Amino acid sequence: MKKLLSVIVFSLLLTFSIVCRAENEERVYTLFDESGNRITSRMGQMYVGDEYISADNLLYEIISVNDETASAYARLIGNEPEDIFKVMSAKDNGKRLICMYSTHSDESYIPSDGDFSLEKNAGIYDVGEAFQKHLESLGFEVEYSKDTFLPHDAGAYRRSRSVAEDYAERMPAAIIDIHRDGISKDEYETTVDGEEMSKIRLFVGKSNQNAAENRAFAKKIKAIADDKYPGLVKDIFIGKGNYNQDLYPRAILLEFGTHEIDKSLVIDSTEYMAKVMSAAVGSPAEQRAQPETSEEKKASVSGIAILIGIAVVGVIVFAVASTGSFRGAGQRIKKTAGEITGGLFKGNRDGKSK
Amino acid sequence: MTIGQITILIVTALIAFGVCQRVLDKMRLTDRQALLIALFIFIGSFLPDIPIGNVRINIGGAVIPFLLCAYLIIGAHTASERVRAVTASLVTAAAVIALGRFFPNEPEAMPFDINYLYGLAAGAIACLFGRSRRAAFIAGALGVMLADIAESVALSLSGVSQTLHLGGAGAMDVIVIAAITAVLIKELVGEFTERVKRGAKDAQKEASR
Repeated sequence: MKKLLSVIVFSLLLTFSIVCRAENEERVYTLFDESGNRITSRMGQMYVGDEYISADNLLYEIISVNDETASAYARLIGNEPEDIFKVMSAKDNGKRLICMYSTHSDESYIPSDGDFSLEKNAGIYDVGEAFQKHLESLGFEVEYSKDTFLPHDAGAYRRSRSVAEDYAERMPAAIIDIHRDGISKDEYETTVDGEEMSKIRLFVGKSNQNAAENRAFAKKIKAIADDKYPGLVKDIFIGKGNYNQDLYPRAILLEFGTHEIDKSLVIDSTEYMAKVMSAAVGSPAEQRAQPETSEEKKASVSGIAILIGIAVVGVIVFAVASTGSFRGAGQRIKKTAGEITGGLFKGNRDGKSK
Repeated sequence: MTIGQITILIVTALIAFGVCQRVLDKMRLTDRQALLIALFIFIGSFLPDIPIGNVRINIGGAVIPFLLCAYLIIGAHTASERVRAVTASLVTAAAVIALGRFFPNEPEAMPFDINYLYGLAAGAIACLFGRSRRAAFIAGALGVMLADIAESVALSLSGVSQTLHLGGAGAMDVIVIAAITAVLIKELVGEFTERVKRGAKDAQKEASR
C-alpha cells in the first residue's frame, strides 16, 4: 500500500513537472485589459491571481490566461495609492549596507555581449558592478556577490539561497537580486532627464510571509522614482513564487533592461536607480532613514498574522490527516504540547518513553 | 529594519525551530538530543562557512544534518536498512536534479515553492526504498547535498568554475527543508496507510462474525 502510494505521488510529480515545463518554454506573455487593450508583456508565464502595477500606478489582477496564445487578461482593481512622502525624522548614523547578487548568473545582453546567455563573463555582472559603484559613491557599503548559480534552471534559486541567507543574517538596508528581462527592447527604451537609457522593472513574489513588506518596499521605490526620475521604473510585477524573498522583508528583484537592449543603456540607468534606492532606504549622506510608510506598517502586521495562521492551520491539517479525526487531532496536539512544554499543558509527556 | 520587519524574522525563526525540533524528535533521539541538534542547526547557521577549496560548507545547514545522517545510517538495525537509506538518497539526488531541469526556470511558473517539492520527492522515494522516518530524513538531506555536489562536478568538468555552497542558507537551506518535509510526508503516508489497513482488518472481523 505504501509503495503504491509512493509510486502514485512520484508519478504525479514527474507528470506534473513535464506538463509545467511544456507550458513554459521561455515564452513572452502579453497582458491585456478587459477591453483587449495591451498593458504589458514579460518573459515567462503569467497566472490567474498575479498582480501588476503599471507605470501610472494602476493595479491590475490577472483573471484569465490563454497559454496557447501566451496572453493574459487583467481586471483593473483601481489606483494604488502612494504614501511615501511622510515626515522624515529618524536619525541613522551608521553606514548603510546594501547586498546584491545575481541568481541567473548567465543573463547577458545580445547587442553588447553577443549572446543572451553566457556561462562565463555574463553581462549582468557589469550592470551589477555599475550599480554597486554608484551606490558606493552615495556612501553605502555594498556587498555584491560574484558567485554564479549555474545552470540557469529551476534549481538556480536553491543555489543562490545560500548567498541570500548569508546577507539576510547581516540585516542590510536591502537585498537586491539583479536580473534582466527577456522581452522586446521597445518596452524598455526610455529617456530620463533628457538621457536615453533602459527602464527597470521591479519584481515581487507573493508566495511568502514577507510578500506584503516587499510589495510595500517596491511601491516605495517606484513612487520615489516616479517623483524624481519619471520613466525610469517601468512597472511592478507581483507574481507567484518565492525568489528567496521569504528570507528578508526588504528583498527585491530588479530587472535591468532586456536581452535585446544595449548594455550601455542599462548601465546608464544604474546611476539613477542608485539615487532612488538611496532615497528609499535612507541616504547615508543625509544621516537619516526613511520612516515606515503606513503600508509598510500594515504589511508587518499582516506578515506576522499570515505566518501564525499558516503555522496553526498546518498543525491542525497535519494532525487531522495523520489521525483521521478531529478528536484524534485534538489528542495529538495536546500530547505534543505536553511534550514540548514538559507537561505544562495537560498532554501526556510520557507518551514517549525515553 | 523596522520593529515589524524584525518581528517577522523572529516569528519565522521560532516557527521553523519548532517544526525542526518536532521532526528531529521523531528520529532515534531523546527529547533533549532533538532540542540540542535543532539548536546546533540554528546556531551553526550563523557561524562562518568552512572553506575547502572551491567549496563552502555551512555548519548548521550541512555539517550537522550530515553528521545526523551518518549517525542514523551507522545506527540502523540491519545492513539492508542502511543500503535502503543510501539508495533512497542517491535516487533523491537524481530526482532533485531532474526536478531542476524539467521544472520551469521561474518560480512563478510553479504552483508552489519548489523547495518543498524536493522534500515531497524525497518523502515519496523514502517510502519506496525505506520504511522509516529516518530513511526519509536521510533521503531528503543527503539527496539534496549529493545533487548539489553532482551539479558542481558536472559544471567543473564542462570548464565552469563555481563556488559550491553546501547548506549555505543554514536552517533555511533546502537541505534542511527537504529533510523535514520528507519526514512529514513519510509520517502522513505511514499514518494514512496504517489507518486504511486497520480499517480493512476491522471490516474483515466484522464480516467474519
